[in-house]
Amino acid sequence: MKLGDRLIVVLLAVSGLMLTASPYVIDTAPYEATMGLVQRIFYYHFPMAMTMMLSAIVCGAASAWFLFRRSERADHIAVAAAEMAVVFGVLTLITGPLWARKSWGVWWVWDARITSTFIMWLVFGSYLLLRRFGGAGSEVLAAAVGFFGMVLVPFIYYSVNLWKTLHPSNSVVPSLPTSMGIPLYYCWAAFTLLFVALMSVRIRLERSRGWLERAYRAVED
Amino acid sequence: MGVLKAAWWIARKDLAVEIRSRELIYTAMFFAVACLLIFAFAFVEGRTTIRNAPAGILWITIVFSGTLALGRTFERERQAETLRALLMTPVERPAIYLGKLLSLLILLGSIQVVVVPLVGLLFGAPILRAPFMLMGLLALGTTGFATVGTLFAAMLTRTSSRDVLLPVVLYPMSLPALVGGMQGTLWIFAAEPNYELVQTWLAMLVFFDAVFLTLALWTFAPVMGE
Amino acid sequence: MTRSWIRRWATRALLLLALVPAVVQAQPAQVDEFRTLSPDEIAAGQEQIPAARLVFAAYGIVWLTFAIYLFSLWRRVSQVEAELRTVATTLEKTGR
Repeated sequence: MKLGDRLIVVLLAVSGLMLTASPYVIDTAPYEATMGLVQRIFYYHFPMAMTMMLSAIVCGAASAWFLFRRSERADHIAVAAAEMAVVFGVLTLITGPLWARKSWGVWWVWDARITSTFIMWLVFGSYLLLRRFGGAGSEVLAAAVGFFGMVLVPFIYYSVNLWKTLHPSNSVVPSLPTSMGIPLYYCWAAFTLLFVALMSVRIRLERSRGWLERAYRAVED
Repeated sequence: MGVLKAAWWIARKDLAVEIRSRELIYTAMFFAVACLLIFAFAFVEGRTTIRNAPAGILWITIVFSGTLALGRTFERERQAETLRALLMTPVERPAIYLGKLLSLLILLGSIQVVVVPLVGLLFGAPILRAPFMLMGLLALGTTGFATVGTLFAAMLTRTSSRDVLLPVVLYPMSLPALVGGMQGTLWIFAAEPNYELVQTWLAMLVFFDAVFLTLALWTFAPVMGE
Repeated sequence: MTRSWIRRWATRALLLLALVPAVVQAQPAQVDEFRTLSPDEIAAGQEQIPAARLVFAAYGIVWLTFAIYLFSLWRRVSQVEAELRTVATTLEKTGR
């Protein structure tokens, strides 16, 4: 096994172990006063949302790099990150309603932040659809989509301050008591590690696909 | 030749083609009217339209017929291989983009000249309540939509499943502009209109349009360059 | 053949995922309508909507999704690598 492969395995194992242990860590946190037990979804929901943002930014930056520099490596990173954005996004959008059902009484609310997250998820979904069904040359077009998608990110993050609604505001996390902060940052770290591990596997897959394509062309010649 | 002048020539060429065939204007307008008919069955209760529905009806009709027009303009270019020819001319890329955008905006504007009064007539929307604000919202919202739409429609002409991919990509991307247009129109049409909110949305739309246009001009060249 | 097999199982897993909210919701007290809680009820610490189920569902879905995603990644990687090996041997045979 090469060093890179070993690193991926270690990363996967560490993040897997951290996630397995996460319920115990979360269990040390006190009950939130008004929401009680259901607030514990937050320790997964928030890191997932942040990882989705991170994936979006990575995808956008890599797309821009690919668009203006035509670097193949940047393209591999962009696809991998778009897939991460969709996976972490779908989990954000599933864990959110499960929490909202109890604390707001409804599954879904068209609040500014939720809506923007949903839009972002659609953007990166369309990125993947474009790559899958766009045919030859679609990677350049998808890069334009990824680049546009990234530009939406800051707008999304500040949108909650623009139209204040139901969603807990951005100031919740910095003001968190330590007893709740520790499990949150623990989960955040675990999901970020998982993100890095999955990203590297996905990038490797894309690189192998590139090799395969080149090899096929060599066979045809 | 300056970029703007070249853009104007490209737009004029497109409009001349359209005026000769009148294909897009007829089909897109007819489609818009057909959309209005469908909406009548969803949003009319008894003899009156459901409150707040006209703004949505207006914008969805604009967006749907706009998507149709966008797809068709570039499909026409593709069939005649004229887009490639245009890209080979020594005209700068931004000029091609701006020219396409301009001709599309004129086309969408002329569809709206018919659709907006129809929404007023058929659904009782108070379109004359704040005509200049409404015109501003329509112009800015359509510009935002067309700015993104022209970029992606131009890109997608080369792909295989462009007809389905265009709306898939375009709707989430242009959403900020559409939300601005819809919300602004909603506050004009509302039982108690709130012009301050309309102004806020107008300002937001100017901001979105500027962002979209800058980004589109920036990405058009690397995307279309070969 | 293997791909269709994966697809079948992925579809089943997704259907199962879709069932989770339904199961969570299938409580006698609130099957037929969505009810907004009043602040008094929340203060009284009632358990009309069982929080534990929602929390378990959330964690379960997260784990399940990552398990499925990891599995699909692993399948895709091994498939591409197997193909790469076959192409490499063909290339070697033809002496290139």
